[in-house]
Amino acid sequence: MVPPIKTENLTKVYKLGGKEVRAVDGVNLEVPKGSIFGLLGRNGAGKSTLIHMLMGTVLPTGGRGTVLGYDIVKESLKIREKVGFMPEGLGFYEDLTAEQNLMAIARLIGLKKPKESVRECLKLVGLWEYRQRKYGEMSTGMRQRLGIAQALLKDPELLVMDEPTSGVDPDGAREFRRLIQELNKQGRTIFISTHLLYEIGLLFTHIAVMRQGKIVVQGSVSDLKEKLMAGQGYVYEVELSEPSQVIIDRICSLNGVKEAILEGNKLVVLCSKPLAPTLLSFLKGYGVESFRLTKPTLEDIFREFSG
Amino acid sequence: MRALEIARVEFGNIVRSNKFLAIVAIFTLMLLSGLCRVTEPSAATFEVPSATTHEVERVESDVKLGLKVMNAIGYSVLMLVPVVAVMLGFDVISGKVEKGIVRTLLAQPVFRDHIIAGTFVAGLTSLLVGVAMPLALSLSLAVLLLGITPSLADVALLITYLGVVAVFALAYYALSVFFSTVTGNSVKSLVAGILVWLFSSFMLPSLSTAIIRLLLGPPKFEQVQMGQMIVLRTDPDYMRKFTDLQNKILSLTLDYHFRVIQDQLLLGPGIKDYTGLLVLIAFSLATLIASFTVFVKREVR
Repeated sequence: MVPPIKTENLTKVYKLGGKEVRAVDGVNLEVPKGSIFGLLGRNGAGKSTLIHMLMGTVLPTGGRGTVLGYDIVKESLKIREKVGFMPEGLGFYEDLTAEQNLMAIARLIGLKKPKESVRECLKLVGLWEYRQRKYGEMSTGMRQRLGIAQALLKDPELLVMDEPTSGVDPDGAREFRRLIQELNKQGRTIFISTHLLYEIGLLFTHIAVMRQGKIVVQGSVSDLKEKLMAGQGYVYEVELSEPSQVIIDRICSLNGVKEAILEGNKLVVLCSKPLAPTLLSFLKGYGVESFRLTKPTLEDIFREFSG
Repeated sequence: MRALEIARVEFGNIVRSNKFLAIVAIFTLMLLSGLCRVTEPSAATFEVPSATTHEVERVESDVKLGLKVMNAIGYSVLMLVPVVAVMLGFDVISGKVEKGIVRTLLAQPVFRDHIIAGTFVAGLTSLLVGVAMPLALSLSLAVLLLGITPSLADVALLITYLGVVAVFALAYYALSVFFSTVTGNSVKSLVAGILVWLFSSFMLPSLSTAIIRLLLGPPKFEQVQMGQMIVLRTDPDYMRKFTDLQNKILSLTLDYHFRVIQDQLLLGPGIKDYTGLLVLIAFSLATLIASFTVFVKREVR
């Protein structure tokens, strides 16, 4: 099965003031079908350039890539026919209403039943009652939803969104998350680039982290968390009814324990490998009230790899 | 087809905008004021004593209504049309880039040349409508309110004149679109357009005099006997050289070429020399092609 997005050594070099800038540097990316894929990276990491190359609006300097099986250089028009794309900072005609703007796009892409499609998309994003409002009079959240609506007009199996939540208030972000989950449940693959993790980070099933034009890590979120724990260590938090300083010395002598700290009645143990059964049996006599493995968050992964 | 679809939407957006409505209103009022002024007693009247009653009859000179209107509004057109064209064109491309419309359009199966071709078609159509609508409106109002009934010849003359005005407007519009495309910034584009207009309309005419004086030296005079008086007259040869040089310098501006055509129309027999018109059309085409090339070659970053 062809993955919705696949790139091999994709590169983009710009010339700025006589200097060569490698905005995207040998990117190998594979987005699994049906995933909610987060392309993470700080501002200027090369995310938008990569997305524009995938959509065919920027030509790569080297490497190759396919989107839904279409070549990103030779078949870019086909890609934009099939993929719902929401670029960063998109806008519409200010003196036209939400409905008129969507109708214009529906006609532009040659939909057979433009009116029906527009109505459906406006309802899906919750803008049906505001369809007669001019774009110039819409709030940021409503504009963002109109952006999603235009991407959905093609009824795409792949949605590509570049920084979709920037400038959106918390309510808007929550609404956005709900919508993305709903669209994903319908079987669509969703590819989102962002640097705002706290807003949509929880949605991602897979991520790739970009740094200075390169993909430094990619995979499923659960695999990456495992990977991070394996690299940095496993942190266990244990609440004890009878804490004692003696435990620290004893626990540190266990094979695989790097460090142990006692904070009140909470014992924090850092291990180089998974040690849950050993620790539990060792701490049996000390009145264990709770025992948990502290898993790294998406932010930890991002911080670790984005530099 | 995609370019035409974009043109259709663009045109709809332009004609709904307050800017466009304001421009149409200004043009209509200008034409109407020109039509109003022709109802005033003409300066070119003369008095004839009646042979039978010894009363004095006022006889209006036989000047075409169309020419009177052109005379009345000619100067305002020369001053206002460039400003209006710059106002229509300064954000045609940069505004679309700044507002993210280009990004939205490029998210669809269209190429950059579809976008700019559609934009040009919409812009030119709105320019034509912006010139034709005021004509129709002002003539209708003149007939209804002022009781002026223009003859077919008057209407034909006014249509020719407005056609020339449209070409003049197109030249400034194309220049403004070029600035808008190259700078990608509406403020810079507006400033550039206004600066060109100020330079062409006000600065260069004054500067040209100074330049010619530097080249030819101070004016030469000759003494001419007029009856009992001796008057000083500028040397005709000096004046001829002065005028030739001034025309050459001012021919660098769009205003000059429009004025040459306007003067031909005002003199009555119609346009005999089409050079000015051709220069304006060639300039418009060249700048539109340049804008097209710049826009198409630019990548989204």
